Amino acid sequence: MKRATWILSCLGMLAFSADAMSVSPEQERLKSVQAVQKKYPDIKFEDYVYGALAFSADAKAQYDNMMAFPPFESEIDKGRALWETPFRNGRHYADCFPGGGKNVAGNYPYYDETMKKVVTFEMALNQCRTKNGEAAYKSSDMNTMGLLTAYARTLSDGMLMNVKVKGDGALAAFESGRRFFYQRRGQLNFSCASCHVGHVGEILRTEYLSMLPGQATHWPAFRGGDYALFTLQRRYSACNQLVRAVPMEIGGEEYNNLEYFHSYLSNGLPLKASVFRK
Amino acid sequence: MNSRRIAIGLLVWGGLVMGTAGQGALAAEGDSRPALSAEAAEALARAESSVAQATARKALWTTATSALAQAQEAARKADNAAVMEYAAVASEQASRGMAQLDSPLTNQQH
Repeated sequence: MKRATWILSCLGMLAFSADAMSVSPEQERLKSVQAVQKKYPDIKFEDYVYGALAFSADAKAQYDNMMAFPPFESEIDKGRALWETPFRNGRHYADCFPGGGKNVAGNYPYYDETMKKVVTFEMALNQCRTKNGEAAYKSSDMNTMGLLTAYARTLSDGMLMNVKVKGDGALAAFESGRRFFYQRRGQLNFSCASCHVGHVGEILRTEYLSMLPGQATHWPAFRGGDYALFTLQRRYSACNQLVRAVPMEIGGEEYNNLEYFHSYLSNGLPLKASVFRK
Repeated sequence: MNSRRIAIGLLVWGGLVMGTAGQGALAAEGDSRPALSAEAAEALARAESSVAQATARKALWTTATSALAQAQEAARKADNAAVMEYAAVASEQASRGMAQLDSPLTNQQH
């Protein structure tokens, strides 16, 4: 009996592994793009970066007007001041990144083989701080890390998302992010995919549901009437709370892996930071 | 020298008497409050344990958290009925959160 149970358990694990690895990251990305193309053939691939705005000409016009003179520009300036203020040792953030920090954000997150974990752009900014003798910012602190990324990411505006998944560790992290995306959560029993794969372009309450490809390209965003600053992971946290799940830690392993998966699925699409979103 | 020792002794003795009296007063206050029933205390402990397990498995629902907070608040007021009611909700919601981890992924069936 025990032997039979053991064999069945092994078969179960094999079946799970086969399911998990049956779709490569690139196949997953293509599948998600093709699903949107099939449902909305008139929306251009490059417009996926606008998310829900791509489904409403009015909302897109409002966005364009808002972005002509962003009312949150002073916040981006605060981020610029943080970026440009030298550390106590005289060095700058720009010294930590190739090209002075220009056109780098699209390479993040990446999987660090030495650290055996995913490294986000925010983590790289903190690594820069600690390497130069400064204390790390809290990833969830919008007044420090949020503002810093609100400027630092603009230096990569127009760069195409270029996330790589190579090696077993990277694949495992990608798979962990993938599972998070498709796992039901909270009392409402929704997964991320329930809305952003299953019901793309449909209206939930008063808002269109954005498509998965392109979702990781326009961050941070200034949202709603008070232009509250939202990093991508703060948005994850808010989404989890909406379905009545206690959110994970911003900057923690779960969200970092989710961002890794999510960003890979935006590969080939241009970044734009500090945008308006409803 | 002796008078100094006597003064210190009196101070220590006075402090002990005052301290004992204070504790007695606190105990009297505590005793005047209705006690939580064993059944309610057990339900609360069970709810706290379930929520801790769901937290550890990263499967906690906000509804479980808020129900537990309400149960704990009711316990402070020694409202046995409310403790039982909210603790049961917290335990149930925490269990359902953990059970959700075993549900199939939504990529095949949205």
